[in-house]
Amino acid sequence: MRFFSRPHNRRDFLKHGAHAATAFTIGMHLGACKTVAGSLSEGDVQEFKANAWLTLRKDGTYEFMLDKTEMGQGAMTGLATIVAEALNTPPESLLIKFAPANRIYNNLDLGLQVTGGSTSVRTSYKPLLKAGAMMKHAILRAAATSTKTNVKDLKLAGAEILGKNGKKIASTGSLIHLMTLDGLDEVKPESLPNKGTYIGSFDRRLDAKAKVMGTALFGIDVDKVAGVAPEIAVVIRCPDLNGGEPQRVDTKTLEKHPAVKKAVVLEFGVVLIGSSFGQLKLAMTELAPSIKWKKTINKWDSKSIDRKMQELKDSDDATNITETGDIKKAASACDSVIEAQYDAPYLAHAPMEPMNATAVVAKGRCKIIAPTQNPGLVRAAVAASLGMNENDVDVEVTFLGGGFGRRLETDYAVEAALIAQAAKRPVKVMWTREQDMTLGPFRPISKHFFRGGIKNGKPHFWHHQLVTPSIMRQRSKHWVVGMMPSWSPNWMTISAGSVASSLIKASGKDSTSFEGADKLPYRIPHILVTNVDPDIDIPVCFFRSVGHSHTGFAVESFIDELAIAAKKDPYQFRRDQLKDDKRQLAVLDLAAKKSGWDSPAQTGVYRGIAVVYSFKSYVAMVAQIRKKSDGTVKIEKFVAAVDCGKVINPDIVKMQMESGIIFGLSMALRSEITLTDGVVQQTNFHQYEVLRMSDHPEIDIHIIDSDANPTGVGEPGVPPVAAALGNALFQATGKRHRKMPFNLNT
Amino acid sequence: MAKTEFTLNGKKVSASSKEDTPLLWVIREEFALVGTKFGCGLGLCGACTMSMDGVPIRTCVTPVAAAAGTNIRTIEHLSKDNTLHPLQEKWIEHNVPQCGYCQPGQIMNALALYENNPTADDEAIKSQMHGNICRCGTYPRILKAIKTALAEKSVAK
Repeated sequence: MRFFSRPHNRRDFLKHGAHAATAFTIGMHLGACKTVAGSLSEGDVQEFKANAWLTLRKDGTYEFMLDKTEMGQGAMTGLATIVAEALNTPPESLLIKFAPANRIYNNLDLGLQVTGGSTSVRTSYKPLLKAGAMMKHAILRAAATSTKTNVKDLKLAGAEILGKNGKKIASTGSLIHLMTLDGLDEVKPESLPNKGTYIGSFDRRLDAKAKVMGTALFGIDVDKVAGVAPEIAVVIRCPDLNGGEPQRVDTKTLEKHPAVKKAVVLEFGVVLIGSSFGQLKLAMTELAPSIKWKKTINKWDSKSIDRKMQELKDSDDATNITETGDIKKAASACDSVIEAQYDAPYLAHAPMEPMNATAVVAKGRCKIIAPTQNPGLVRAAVAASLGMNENDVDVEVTFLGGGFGRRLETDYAVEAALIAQAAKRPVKVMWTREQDMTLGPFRPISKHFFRGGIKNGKPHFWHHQLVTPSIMRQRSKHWVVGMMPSWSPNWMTISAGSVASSLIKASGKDSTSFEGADKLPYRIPHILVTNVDPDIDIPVCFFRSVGHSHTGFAVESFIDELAIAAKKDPYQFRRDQLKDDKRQLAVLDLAAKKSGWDSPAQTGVYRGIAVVYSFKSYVAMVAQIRKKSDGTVKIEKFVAAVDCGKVINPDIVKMQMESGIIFGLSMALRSEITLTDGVVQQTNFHQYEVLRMSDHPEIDIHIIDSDANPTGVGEPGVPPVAAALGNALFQATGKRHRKMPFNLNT
Repeated sequence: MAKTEFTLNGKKVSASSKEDTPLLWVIREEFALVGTKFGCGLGLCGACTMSMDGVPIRTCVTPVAAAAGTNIRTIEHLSKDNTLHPLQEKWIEHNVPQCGYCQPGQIMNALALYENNPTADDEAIKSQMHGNICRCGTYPRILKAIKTALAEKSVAK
């Protein structure tokens, strides 16, 4: 999902140094949640702010401004560990705050302050090592001045400065008045160690205690905004996905309901405001039938979508993504040619915490508190929708009760702002599960039409036609809003958004549609990969592992089919054809070895293998299933090998692999969004099923010891799962599962 | 409006919320204990689990009237003065939480095993925990945490 990027300005480090002012933030320390008021003013000697990330307080505590959001992936712990290493202080000793929206915190890859694309450690470790080195230098320099020693003879150990003999000579906090920013920007950071005091060995989670005590603050728990308790807002919405506006609503009648203090009609629905979500939810059910909606033109349903996409096979509108050799000539030279079609459905992200956001609009300013992956874009989108400058909007974040890409969107926050403005009061807008599940945006549906051929036991050609709605065609107009300079007038931002959207449509090249299908790791002489975007306006957006969430399944299943056609062992077939990427080969070999691939399986036990490079990390998996005497199968075990470069926190890498496998199994076996007459049919977890406790297999994760630069783990655990499972099921039953979710009963 | 009296985390309370209000919202909104979460509103995901007279209940579908005269315990009751319940300790030891949103409900559901069925085997644990969804997929670690907590409890006896 690297669509736009913006070079980072190194001097920004200093701009946000000692004398900058910061807004209120929500902080947490050692697991207990509390609100910390940070008022940093010029000349304040209570603390020293070395840069936008690190502040030293008089009591010796380091405040770390975490600019990535924490949605379970472990960014809080991982990034804090990097800073802790630089300061030689235990990660638990840091006072961690969620950074407010500020362009200084822009993700270096994505050009916005955003947490996604498994980029957190990869894009943050250098700036954070630098931030830590700056703080360390400022401290040691102050200590050297104060004790008339040489900086080189001093050592920083948490809140203490040690002399040549290793004895404490001063406390960091006592020297704050001597610390300056002079020349800090020139400080050279240490390189990332493979194994440091904390990096590579610290294996706790800093947020675990708050999360088991129930004290971690999520968006839904926010009870104050700018010092005031917000009222609760719920929205009655048009059930048709293409959304009609409400018509002829008598708000006075709605306000007669005892739970409703105020009703407001906005473009996206009828807003009910009261003091209790519990009562408002009941009121919504009672009042919804009385709301009439303007008729919509398009009434998509799954059957017509399927037909439309099926018709795009061999379409002249398809764009060539990868083209090597000549597949037509190659096909006639093959010993065998096979064809297959793979399908993946629309999916809801279904994070456990339904969408919500809190907002107040007053005196020309707006403040938002939201569980969001995208504080930067929330700020820009809210400013645009209220007609404000982005500098008039403050955005704070909380813990996220899951994200999976859904919280890259800004709709919930914009809604909260518009309601707060219209109702002239602070509000917390809360969605029901039904709304969260049925309104999208969704992971795009996709179809994959394959043809491939074997010659002399090797894959000779590969023809992959992908049909899937483009995420960026829809989303770029929203994203551009946050990427324009903050002084851009609204008209400029809006036209830039439209231009971006039409460019994507015209080029047919949205890499988020075909990532994982465009660059095959295998040696195949003749390749043609095409993509076409069906014109379907069901809202779609990023979803954990994005394009790889379906290309991983399709590509790694069809390569398995070619292996079978070539009468080769699927592992050896992959191995023989993997190009010279030693890291990809190494994870494949490790997963095979740890699963005992080369030794015969027990009677009734079958294995399937898959390997996917995504988000700059390598993951191979072996699924092991058991066929019972009654013909049913049990998914017994997943073995995974991962190479994500240098490892910051080994247990978090394992957690994310486990998480990816279970998330991937929900996709392979359970979840699907379908539409009838414009309305999503799965309203809650009884119809949109996900993996549960009793379904999970044993999981065995192996991490490659690597010196490569660190890469992400939040997403790469998902793409190989369905393919590895489908490949194992084929071995067990002879049936090839080509449509997610699999139907194991046929 | 009729008041509903019950015991909440060891204290007698009187709730003034309308009697059809789900208990979850009475606890979160009237008593401002927000450790218990809202996930589905239909008793399908377990995020809202509390203990009623020792039995785990789905409070998003339990009207407050049904709590009258009962003993309700929430996640906030498990730890006292920063001392954690053995289940919470095991949850931390095994690095269970990811996003953490479902974990108070998971722990309150596991509490029934801990208090009433400490000899539960894997299948019994999985069966008890089947109703609690974790979208981050922490199930393998929840299983380990419960198993070790139960094992230590039986050793301590």
